Amino acid sequence: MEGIEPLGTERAPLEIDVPATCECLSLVHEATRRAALAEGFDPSAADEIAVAVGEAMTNVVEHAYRGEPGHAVRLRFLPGPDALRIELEHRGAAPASLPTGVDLGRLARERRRGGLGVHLMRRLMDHVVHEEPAAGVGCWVLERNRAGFRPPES
Amino acid sequence: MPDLQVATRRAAEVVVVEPTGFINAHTVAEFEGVLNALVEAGDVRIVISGAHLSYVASAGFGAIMGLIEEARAGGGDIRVAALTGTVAHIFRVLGFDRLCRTFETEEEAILSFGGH
Repeated sequence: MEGIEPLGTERAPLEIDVPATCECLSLVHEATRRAALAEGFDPSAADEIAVAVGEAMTNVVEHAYRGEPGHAVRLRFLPGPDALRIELEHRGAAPASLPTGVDLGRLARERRRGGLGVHLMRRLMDHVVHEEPAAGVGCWVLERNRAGFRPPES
Repeated sequence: MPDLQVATRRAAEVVVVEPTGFINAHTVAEFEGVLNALVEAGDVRIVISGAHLSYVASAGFGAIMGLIEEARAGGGDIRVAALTGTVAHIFRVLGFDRLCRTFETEEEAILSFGGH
């Protein structure tokens, strides 16, 4: 898997290659939680970051790779002065578009069991996008601001 | 210890579902299987006790979302009790407090079914 140049980081990123399977979700959750704690996030924030990253990993496993075995995700932690950035790089299919919101009542009436993952990522993190940095490469990018940081007004 | 264990017990006409561990896309089948079996059997007055959950990902909330209208159509409901910490926070930020009735304690949730 080819790497992507990290952006705007003060320290070298921590990278972990993980099999793209649901069995590895708990490993990704725990690795993320510990990385967030090590970066000074409080336990509640670390838990939220871990859940958000688990949602991105689930999306890669179930949608990008459609549950097919034999694929990998490169998990990259990029601590910056104002935020912790986490990337999940994959070589599966990119999402057609990201939902902008959810109507829980409608989903429930339709007996739907999915469609909440991107919404949850966005509610728990300050910045969530899916990028395609190179041909055939997809990357979920999630950022959580450090406590007290206020992004400049645009 | 397994990642998720799901116990059930009866309190009058209510079934309390008590998952212990975490619910994500890997473990959700266990949780969903218990809920499915209850609803299919007509046990539609369900309280999910979250006291022993460390975290719940969207898959777990999706399992509730996919069955709650089925339970209501059968004259029951799926209600949630004793959520704590990150699980309670995620429940709120997802907006599930508008979809699903929640209670501080399991006892309150059971009693809420008193008049159905």
